[in-house]
Amino acid sequence: MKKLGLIIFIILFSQGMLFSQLYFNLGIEEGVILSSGEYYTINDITSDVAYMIPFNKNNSLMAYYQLKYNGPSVGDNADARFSERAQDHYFLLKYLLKVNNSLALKPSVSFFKEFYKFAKNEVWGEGLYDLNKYQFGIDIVSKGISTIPLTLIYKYQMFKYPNYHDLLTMYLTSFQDKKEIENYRNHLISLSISEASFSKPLFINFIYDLNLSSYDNKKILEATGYSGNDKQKGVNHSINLGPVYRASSTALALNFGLELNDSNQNYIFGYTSTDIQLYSDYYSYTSFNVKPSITFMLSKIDYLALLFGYINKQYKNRSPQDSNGVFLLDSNLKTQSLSAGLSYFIKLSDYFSLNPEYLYVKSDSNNKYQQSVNYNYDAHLITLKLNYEY
Amino acid sequence: MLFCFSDFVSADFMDSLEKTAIKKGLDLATNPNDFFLSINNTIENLGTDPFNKRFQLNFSMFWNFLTVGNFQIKYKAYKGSKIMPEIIGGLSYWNIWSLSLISSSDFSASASGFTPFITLGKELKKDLKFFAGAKYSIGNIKVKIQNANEEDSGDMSDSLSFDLSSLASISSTYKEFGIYTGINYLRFSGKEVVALIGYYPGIKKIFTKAQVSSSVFDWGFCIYPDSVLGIDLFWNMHLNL
Repeated sequence: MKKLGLIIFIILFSQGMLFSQLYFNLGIEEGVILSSGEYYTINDITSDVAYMIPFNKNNSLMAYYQLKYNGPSVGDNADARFSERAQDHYFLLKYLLKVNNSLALKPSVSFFKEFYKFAKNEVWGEGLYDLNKYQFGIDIVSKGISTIPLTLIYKYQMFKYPNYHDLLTMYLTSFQDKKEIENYRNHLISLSISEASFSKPLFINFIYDLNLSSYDNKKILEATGYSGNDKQKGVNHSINLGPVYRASSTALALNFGLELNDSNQNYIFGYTSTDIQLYSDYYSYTSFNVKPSITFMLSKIDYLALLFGYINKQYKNRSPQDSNGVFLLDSNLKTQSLSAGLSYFIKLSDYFSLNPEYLYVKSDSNNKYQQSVNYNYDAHLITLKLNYEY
Repeated sequence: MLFCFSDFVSADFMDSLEKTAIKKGLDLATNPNDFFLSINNTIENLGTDPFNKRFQLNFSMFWNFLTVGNFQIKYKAYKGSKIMPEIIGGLSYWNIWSLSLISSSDFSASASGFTPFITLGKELKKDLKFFAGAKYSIGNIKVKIQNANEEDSGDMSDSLSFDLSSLASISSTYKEFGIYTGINYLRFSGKEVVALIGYYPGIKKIFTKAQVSSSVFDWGFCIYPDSVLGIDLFWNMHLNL
């Protein structure tokens, strides 16, 4: 055992193996959101450490760890919507097998742990939405036709919420039933083409994701609770197409996105057990977005980008609510948002960069009930990101 | 400082600032371990500086001015080789010595802590080093207010929705294991830039540090997300022996 430990130690720290394949990144982002005369601070910290152990030119193993924090910064936002915070730990082991010059296989296993809090006075590790995600998958990377790099990914994911209790069922059954029912499984199939060049300087990026989810225990919601015959399932299609035109020191990008979400789950609304209303097919929607951007390379070390965006989302069978929370049954919920901003990036040294950014977002909806989710707002987002990367 | 600026800023801003200060004070009183653990991190210099001598002494000038006496000593146990990493061990210590100067029969307080640590470092390029290490932080905070009067604190407790009489005695000890990693590289101007991130698994606390070092001084900031201190600017000094 001692000899094995010594061998592993030497492999990990010997020159030319570990440290020639090491990756380290630390990004610290501080920002402020200004909306309706109020300000909310935000903080995002992301750190990645990875190293690759090459066994030979066709086989290597990569170990990767990411620590991430997202939440308020100084000031501790009083508004509950901006008071949530999360701490993520992500571990990945991926094996790289180069079959031939045009085909590579990358099986992987990963574990994701999220600690989630609604407010500062909660204790980490006791959050209702703390999450454990287990994932197994394989990437198949093919060069195919020489100008089209194709990647096919399959991932099997298990989502477990160790602290979650179904508050709705507890309420409906007078706290008799405390079963944890938020756990679910997901199959992710992804097909992507990156930087395919049919006619330089035009490049194309394309991603299609298919998510098939099924809950372990959660059934369809009826007026009496989760008592339907079928368990909750969902199908989500997501397509992104992004042509990029690069000409000397300018790049024009146009990203189109389409998302179709189909869920068999219903929703119930009411304050007492006698006035409950059932709304079927509550979570299915269609979303479309377009995000053009223009990037100007000012020099070898800095660039300026103009960012724009439009997102439109329409629910299939969810009614909007008026300002008093009454459902308007003659229409379906729609939201749309416009955004515009500037992003400046400068590389201060080989490993250190700075990225200030400004974004303006305006969102509106035919849903005027703002107690849980704010659909109608405009906001200014100012952030500054410091990044160290090797 | 609040009085100096009151003529130049709005009453709402002053009111907001005062409320924030009171809230921070209460956060500190109810969770002193978190605050002093953050100071502990700010004082420390855990990276693999390119000091050629065996020992390095570090001091936080800023916290010294605030009467938090502190020092850290680092010892380069092994310079490193092609296979083996550099090994550095050290110990940091802090003590709020001014608390012992308060002579009052109604008030006594003490606060101190120390941290042994070990750092392994490896040169990736001539101007770049990667390091990782572990430490064990220990601290003790004691505050005792004799004859805490519920009647006197009652009105203020009502306005803050918090029972101040429960703060008559604070006794708190922390013993936390932490791990950290980062890079330091030498810029063309001779200054060293250090980026560090660390984690206390027991209390799930993240700490980060961004630092620029010259031959004698270190400047930078620490960020402690979801903590009492939040962001801490620092100015430290080091001597190689």
